[in-house]
Amino acid sequence: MSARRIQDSGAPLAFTFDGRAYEGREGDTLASALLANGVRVVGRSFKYHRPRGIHGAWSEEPNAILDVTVDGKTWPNVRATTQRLEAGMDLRSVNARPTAEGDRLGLLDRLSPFLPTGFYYKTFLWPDWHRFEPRIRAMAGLGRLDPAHEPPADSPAMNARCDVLVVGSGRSGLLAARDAARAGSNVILVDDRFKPGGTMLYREPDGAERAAALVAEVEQAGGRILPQTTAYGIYDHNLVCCWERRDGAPDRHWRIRPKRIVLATGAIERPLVFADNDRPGVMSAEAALYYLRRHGVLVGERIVLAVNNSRALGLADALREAGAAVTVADLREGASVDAVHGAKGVEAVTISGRRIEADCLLASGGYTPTVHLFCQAKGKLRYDEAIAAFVPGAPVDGISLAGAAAGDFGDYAIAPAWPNPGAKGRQWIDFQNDVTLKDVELAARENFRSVEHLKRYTTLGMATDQGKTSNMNGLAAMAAVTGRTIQQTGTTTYRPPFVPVPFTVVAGRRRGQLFNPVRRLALETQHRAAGGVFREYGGWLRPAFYGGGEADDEIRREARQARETVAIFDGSPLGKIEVFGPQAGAIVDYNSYNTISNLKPGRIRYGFMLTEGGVIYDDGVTVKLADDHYVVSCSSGHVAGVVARLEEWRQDRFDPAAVFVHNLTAHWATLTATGPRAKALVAALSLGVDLDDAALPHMATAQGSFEGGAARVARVSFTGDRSYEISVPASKAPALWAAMNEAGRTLDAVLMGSEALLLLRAEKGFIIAGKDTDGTSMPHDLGITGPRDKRLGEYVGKRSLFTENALRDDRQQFVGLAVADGGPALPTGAHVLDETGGKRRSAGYVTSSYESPAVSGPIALGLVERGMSRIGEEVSLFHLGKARRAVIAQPCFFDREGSRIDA
Amino acid sequence: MRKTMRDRGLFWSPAPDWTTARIDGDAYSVRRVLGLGQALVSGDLDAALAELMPAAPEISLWSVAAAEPFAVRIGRDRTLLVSPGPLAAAPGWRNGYVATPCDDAYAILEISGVALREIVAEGTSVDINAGSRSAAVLFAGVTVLLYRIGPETARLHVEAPLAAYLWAWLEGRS
Repeated sequence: MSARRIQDSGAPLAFTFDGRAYEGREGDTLASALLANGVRVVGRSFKYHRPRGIHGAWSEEPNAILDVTVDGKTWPNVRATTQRLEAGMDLRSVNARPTAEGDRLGLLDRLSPFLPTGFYYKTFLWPDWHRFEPRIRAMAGLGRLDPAHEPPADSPAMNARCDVLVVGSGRSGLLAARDAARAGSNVILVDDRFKPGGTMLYREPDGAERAAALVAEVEQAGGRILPQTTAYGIYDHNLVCCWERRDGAPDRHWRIRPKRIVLATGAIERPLVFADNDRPGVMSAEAALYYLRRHGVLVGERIVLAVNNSRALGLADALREAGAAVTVADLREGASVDAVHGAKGVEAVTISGRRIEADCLLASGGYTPTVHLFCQAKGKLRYDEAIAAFVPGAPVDGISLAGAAAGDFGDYAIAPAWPNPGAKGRQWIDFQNDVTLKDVELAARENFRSVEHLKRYTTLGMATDQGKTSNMNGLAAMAAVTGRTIQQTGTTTYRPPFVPVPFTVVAGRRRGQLFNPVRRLALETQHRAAGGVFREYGGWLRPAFYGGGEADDEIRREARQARETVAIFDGSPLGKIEVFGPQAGAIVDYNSYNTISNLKPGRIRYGFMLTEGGVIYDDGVTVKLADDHYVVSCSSGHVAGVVARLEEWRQDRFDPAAVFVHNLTAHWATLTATGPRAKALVAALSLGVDLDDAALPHMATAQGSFEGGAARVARVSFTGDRSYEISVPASKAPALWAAMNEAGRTLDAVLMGSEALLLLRAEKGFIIAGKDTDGTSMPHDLGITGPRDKRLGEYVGKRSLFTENALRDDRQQFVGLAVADGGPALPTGAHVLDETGGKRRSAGYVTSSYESPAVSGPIALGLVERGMSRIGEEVSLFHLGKARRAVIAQPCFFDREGSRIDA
Repeated sequence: MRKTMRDRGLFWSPAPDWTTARIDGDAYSVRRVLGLGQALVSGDLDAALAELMPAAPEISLWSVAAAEPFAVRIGRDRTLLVSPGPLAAAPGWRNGYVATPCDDAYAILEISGVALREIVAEGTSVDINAGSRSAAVLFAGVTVLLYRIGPETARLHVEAPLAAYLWAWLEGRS
């Protein structure tokens, strides 16, 4: 094969392939540039490492897969036929070491008699597949990933709707789009090639001009054309997903919801199946015409054109006009391709027993309509003997086909030339996955006779080209082997994507900060300025602690000082879900394990919210502001869930006109003062609230004001110390923060992050739902049985508290664990062991564990079987190979009498 | 263990200074609108509007609001009143409806420019041309209220804690 460029156009572009320098032209694809430079071998086959050349011209290309490095970034497995050449590109063949031309593993081909299809299923079973797996995996595969190259997450995901979506911009597609647009439809036309026009651009005289005129007509009629956009999949309700490549901008992902789809996707030429039909220089005839007319590249000097159809036959004149000597072998007239000579490129071809010196063999086995999208939409195919191809059968709602995709090949005659079982030589069916006719025969002998089984056993059609050139020959071969018709044999299932779509396009911009965004505090800037070190808690970005020291030191400093003076803590993410209406009391009662509505206005009650299975979903306080106004608080990560359950019951169980739920968590910012000097700090803020304990006792709330706006003051404590939660509209939060810091200056106040709060609450034995409870924990496992035993009326989860499982006496119960071996804090997650009968099993685990400044030692909380009846018992724990000892204790380690709440 | 605690504040870029933040992109700009009043109303909306904001028009998805005040419809029985300044309405139950001031609950981002429709096509799969009584849509994965105040100017009301995310999403468009 001595391909060369016969017509120069465009500026020269320097590039390299497998280390050698070449020159292409602006507008080249990688494939046309390689052909223009006479490069024959562009890669090695997947299994046998046979030399392979360029076969096709677009997405059907099975051989020319390259790793492309440009601007220092390597893109693996780029299809050379669909990628534009850029200056300075470094192209590397895949599956070849060191080069495609001189691949060391080429000798594997000589071992092919011992490596038939499925040999690895049989050969590597003994003694263990995993002994072979690493080496086989190292040998297998195509391109090489560059770990240093992390493509940016910059592909937008676009949504569009239209009346008519036309896929394919050949003549049929352009006409369909134009007519629809002229009829007043909102039209989008997508086409995967660089320029609209399809085969018009290289098959029709003045085709480019005619295509341009049609494009203009479409656009003048209001249609939108997206070139370089591949419709790769149809999904439910005819949602069409497309991958758009843009010049100088990131790729885009389109989700188009059309009312009607016109598939004008054309047809793909099939190879002929004969011995050594995979040699470099054996090409698609259609591709040769494409390279000639679109890129000015003549694929050979002495060309044999072997065809079984009239469409490809017409190519001979074009090649001769370009200067090639062309020998035509028309299989319809009895010609046969007997042999291809030349290991690394065609040197001669034996046609009907006559050797012909040649450097290129163009083969056309007919055309297969591109019906992938139709079939993805559950369309059924019908085999059409007249054109020897599957064509669309019964119509699918909302989808029509036009042109070659519908089997309309115009004036077309073909004599089928399907694979001939029993023929001599190695006849390739799937070039990319190295599947031969003999492999199909072997599969049939081993009873893999269904095309679906054939596919999976031989991997036919499973490569990145998805069998665009091989599936039809493969199923025809199976039909011939099994004596069935092609219609009876059928096709495999068509699934998206039509071409490999980069993960970066599918994932879009959802990476990094955009992947799972956290909520931000109104005071984030202030926390950063104060030296806050942040972590994510319940979907919020919150300060874990403040200061530049070691985390443990800073956290203990904050906890210690909070007990001694007063701490300022940002509790804004805690839920503030307001419930209004005549049935507000009824719904908050139903929502809670504890009765709420019998509170006096202005009072607060702590309680659990249960799942319908009786398991603790969340805990928190509910504030009664009035008979028809409550505020349900909950942990920050449960706000959306609690709102959803309240809304669900509001609509399903209560009068939806008599109760409403407003989630005002984002409106209110909450700053907490906690510690012995908390009252003094709050008093300095002049909120207009009587802070006397008689007026505002623990678990009470009062309305005040701050800077001309509302301020809610609630005495609720998660530390066990006197605490005040002050809630103001978020826009007032910076002023409140400043005022509390100013007031705290003379009180030796400390800023406290979430970690110190978690420590302080653990000292008191206060739970974090979901940390100190799990998917089995019920209120009575925490020793809270009153509502279960006494409460009348219905509430969520009630029935589940009386099941056999709920009443078992060996349930895991919430307890404290005191270190008994003199060691440091127990590891969170350590298992409490039951060693009864000499067997070890887990009887619970540590849920929280800290070094406590207040008790000057380690403390831990846990769930332990029968824990509450085993207080004082010493138990063994086990964690990552290490044994520990602890004593089961009451969960409260500090201020058990609760005197500090009013101190 | 905590000695190795990473500062996740380094991963998450700081929230913008909303008083000055502005995005000047290719054919679009974004700013946060400050100072408007917002109140969430549920229940008998006719009664609520008659009492709280007479003659305020109802704004639906992608419809154009001339000037405050107006009511942005959220659901069958819920709307958001938007007023030039904070609404003087104490939160509470009032004969068939409830109104709660929530001026700070939602950040209001205003997008202007000829690229507006492309931004909206990227942000939401909703058919804005088909319209919807409710202005609530998923935009960039979060719930927003979406309407316009001019042919090429749209507003998004998003829960304030998610405004920094939406800002980063808009800022990072290409």
